[in-house]
Amino acid sequence: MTAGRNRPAATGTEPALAPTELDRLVGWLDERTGFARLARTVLRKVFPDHWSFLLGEIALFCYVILVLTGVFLTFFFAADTRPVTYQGPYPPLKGADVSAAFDSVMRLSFEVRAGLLMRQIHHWTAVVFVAAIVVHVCRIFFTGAFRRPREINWLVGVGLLLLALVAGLTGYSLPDDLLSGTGLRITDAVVTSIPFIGPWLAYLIFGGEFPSTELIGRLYVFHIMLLPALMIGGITVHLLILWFQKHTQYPGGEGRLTAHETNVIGRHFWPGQVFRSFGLFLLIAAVLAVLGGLVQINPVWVYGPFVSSAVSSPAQPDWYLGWLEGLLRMGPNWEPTLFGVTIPSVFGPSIVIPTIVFGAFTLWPFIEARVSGDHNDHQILQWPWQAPVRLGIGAAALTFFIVLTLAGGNDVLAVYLRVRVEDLTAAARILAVVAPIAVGLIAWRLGVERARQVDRERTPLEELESGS
Amino acid sequence: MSDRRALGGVAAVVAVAALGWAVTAGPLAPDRIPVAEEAGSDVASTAAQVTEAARGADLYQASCAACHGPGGEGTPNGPAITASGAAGVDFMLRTGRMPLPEPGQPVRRGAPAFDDTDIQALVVYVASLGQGPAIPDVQVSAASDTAAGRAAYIATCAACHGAGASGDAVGGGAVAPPLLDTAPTQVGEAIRIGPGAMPAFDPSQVSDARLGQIAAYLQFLKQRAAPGGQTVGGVGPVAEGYVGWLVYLVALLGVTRWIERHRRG
Amino acid sequence: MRAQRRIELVIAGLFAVTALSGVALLAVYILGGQTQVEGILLGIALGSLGLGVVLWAQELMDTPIVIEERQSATSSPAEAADFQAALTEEAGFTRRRMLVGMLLAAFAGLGAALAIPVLSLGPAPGREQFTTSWRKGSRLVLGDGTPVRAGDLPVDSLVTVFPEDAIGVTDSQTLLIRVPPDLLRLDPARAAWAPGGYVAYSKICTHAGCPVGLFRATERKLICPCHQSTFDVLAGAAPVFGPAGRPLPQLPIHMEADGTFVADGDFPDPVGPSFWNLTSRGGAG
Ligand code: FES
Repeated sequence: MTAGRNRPAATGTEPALAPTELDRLVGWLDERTGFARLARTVLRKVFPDHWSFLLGEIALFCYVILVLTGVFLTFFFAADTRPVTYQGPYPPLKGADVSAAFDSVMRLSFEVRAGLLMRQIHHWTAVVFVAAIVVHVCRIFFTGAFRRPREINWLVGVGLLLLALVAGLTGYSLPDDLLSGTGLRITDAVVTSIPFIGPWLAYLIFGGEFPSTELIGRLYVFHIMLLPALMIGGITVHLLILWFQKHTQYPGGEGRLTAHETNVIGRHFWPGQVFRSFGLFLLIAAVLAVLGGLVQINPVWVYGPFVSSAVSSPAQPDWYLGWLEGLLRMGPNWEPTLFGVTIPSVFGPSIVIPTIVFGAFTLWPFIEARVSGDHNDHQILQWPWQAPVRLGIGAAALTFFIVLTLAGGNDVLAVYLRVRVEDLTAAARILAVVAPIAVGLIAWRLGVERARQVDRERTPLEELESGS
Repeated sequence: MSDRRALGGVAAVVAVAALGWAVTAGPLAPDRIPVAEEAGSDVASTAAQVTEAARGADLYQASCAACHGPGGEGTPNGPAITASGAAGVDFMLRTGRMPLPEPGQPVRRGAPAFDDTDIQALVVYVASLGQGPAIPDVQVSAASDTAAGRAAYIATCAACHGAGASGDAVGGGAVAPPLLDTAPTQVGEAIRIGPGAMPAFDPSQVSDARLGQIAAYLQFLKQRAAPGGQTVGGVGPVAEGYVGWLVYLVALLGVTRWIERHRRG
Repeated sequence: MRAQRRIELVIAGLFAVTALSGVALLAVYILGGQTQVEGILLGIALGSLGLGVVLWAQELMDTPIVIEERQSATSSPAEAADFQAALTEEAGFTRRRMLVGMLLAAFAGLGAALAIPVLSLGPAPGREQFTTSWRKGSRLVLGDGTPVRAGDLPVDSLVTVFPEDAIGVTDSQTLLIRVPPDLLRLDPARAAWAPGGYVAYSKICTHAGCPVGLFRATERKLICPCHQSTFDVLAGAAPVFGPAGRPLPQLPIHMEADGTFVADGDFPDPVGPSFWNLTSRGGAG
């Protein structure tokens, strides 16, 4: 058994050359693990080369950047609400009473070299991360990629989106500054609003009446341990399922190769796809590094330490919770008490509606299969117009979220538009119902038209091919 | 293939340009509002005051009396200003809020309509019509205590004007304006008189020394509180969200499409 | 071949740029660091490496488009049957139903036992939500401890106050507002709670708990910055706009001979965000 014998099979077609160092290493490893067989399949895996299959990778790479920058930040952050006196170099806070957590973020921003850059890259990446997930989900949704056999991966993906939102909220709150304290205050009220178990649950989560000294430490455990671990697990499952099920592909094909339900057309994983994906990772990191260096985000020194009786406006969460903020802002002030049980006005907008919306979103593959009666496997994607009803519903949902998000920043908008905040809220209440219906109907109509047009333009030959 | 590469290049340039535009001149830029000049505080001689008062009276009758009445007693078009005092008149004129182009127009900050001498003349004249707060002496220097200023600003001003002094809508059509470009004296005057929907604050609540510290803190915010780069309007997560999406849609999607530019068929 | 050579040089150049910006970044770091320069250099380093790698793949690698057959994911009936047999028959699960049932019960019990320590995370809410630190006789003081005196406040202005012995305590933050007394439209039972036009309301929004810090003096309205709930100061802080469903609780106060203010008891209603049993105030007070 010489080391040269077990050269990777991929190079087996070439004439035998003198064994190199690499050959020897591969051979040594393979004799012990048999990994070359597996590695060969991995390197030879076929990836479709449409750009939209990289949308998920953007999110994945953002996650990697978040972990890398996040690890750096943990070396300096102190998850501790004990009061200290600020003694650092930022003059307006000299001598101020701050928490140790806030103090450590100030040190990270002003005294640790490259600390501010890392903080800003981390926060910007979080902002972009959720955007990347949302666009990825849209691609999956509108092309029907979630259909059988990929329902499980849809569920895993929805779980990852939820984890990302919670990770965002907990991270936003860690610096213990004035703005994020306001966000925690609202989170506490949201939990408290649940009938019967709310107050008890809020005390359990927050460790007592708001603001408890336990909170930052708990959020930290969630933010740097539980949530990232769950996300890594989720991402692993997500990718493994993708790997074994193989990519979907768009109808049509490449050159003379025609896409069928039974094949997959694309480029080998190695080297073409690996190089491209690695390049994508580097380019994303480059954009985020420049963004983190040039555009200021979450200047906690401006907000100052959390003081429970102070507040700053405008007061908003990061954009991906803006829709919840919008729901809260436009919620009616109904607070009925029935048989001694009060339903807080926060409950409907922050618990009931999001549960319904997210529930429908989570179960969508099953709902669609039930309604359409289509329980077949699908490896070929649909263009959005090929499923006009889904197109309409998706467009309506997106419109709904956009209206809510705009309503969540109504005070900022009011200044730019020079209108009354109250009028914007009233408009948002109407638009949240009317706009989704209108946009949904238009999208559905356009989809139907397009499908008809394509039908008409189809030549008999294409008819034959697509039918085969 | 080369035109696809060109497309990628164009996309990158557009991305950078769009971001640059958005944060400097576009919707994310800090409000550009002309800086009101600081009030001259030289003490005029008695003789000069007499002529100044006469000039002030003329100016008043020409530009203000139509709405505020010939003696400052107010008309259906405008409120009485006999109790505005020097501080109130000086604030309104120097920040360009008065005179209004038309009665009933919203009161907004703008370029002052009068030059320094005319403003002084008007201030002296209107202040003589009744009792009102004098122009506070707002002292700002390099030695000003910005820490005390910050504490007072957060406790008193930040709820409406924002911790970053970016301003915000406070409901009912009222806007707490951004303060980064407001001259120290006008900051002090506003605190004393409470223009528009804003409450007034007495020296017992906010001392004259405190006014200087608050103004000094505002200058610090404007000049030295952005070590992280562009502030995108200083309004926080709303603007940050727009920037994040812009970068994603333009730069990252552009990169993605460029990487897979070999797509055939 | 000439074209390939050219692109190879371009890529090599890009890699060199990365190496150089890495060195430049080190220099900036040693010189004390500057966030903007660091960001740009890091971006250039990553970006040109990324460009080089992608160009390499696109221009120099032979990565043909290939086709691969899919295999069905479903196991053969024999495999599935074998799996089921292994799961149930060999372990004897189907024969020992009672035992399996008890095993599940044991797991459930163990799970519950393991979950119980989670309860240590927080105390039970108790009556805390119904009460604040205000008591009969608490003097109204500012955040720095100085008592507020009548005359300190101009008409139509406000301050944040606390009980003298609980300065800074979150649930006790209160707004003392001075309004023209003749404009007040309070409940007749509370007419005495506004000595000389001074009224005190909880500063915690009854919607989701933000400090209600905005005041439109001309209209005597308090506004919450979080979701713009608007409260009418003249009408007992009743909500007139926005999502808040209850008025801000009013603190009963009176004026002492020396001009300071003293509370006559706690807030009559729970302060802050609503919860399901807020009307069951019981004996607290
Ligand atoms: S917390 Fe005050 S309006 Fe929602």
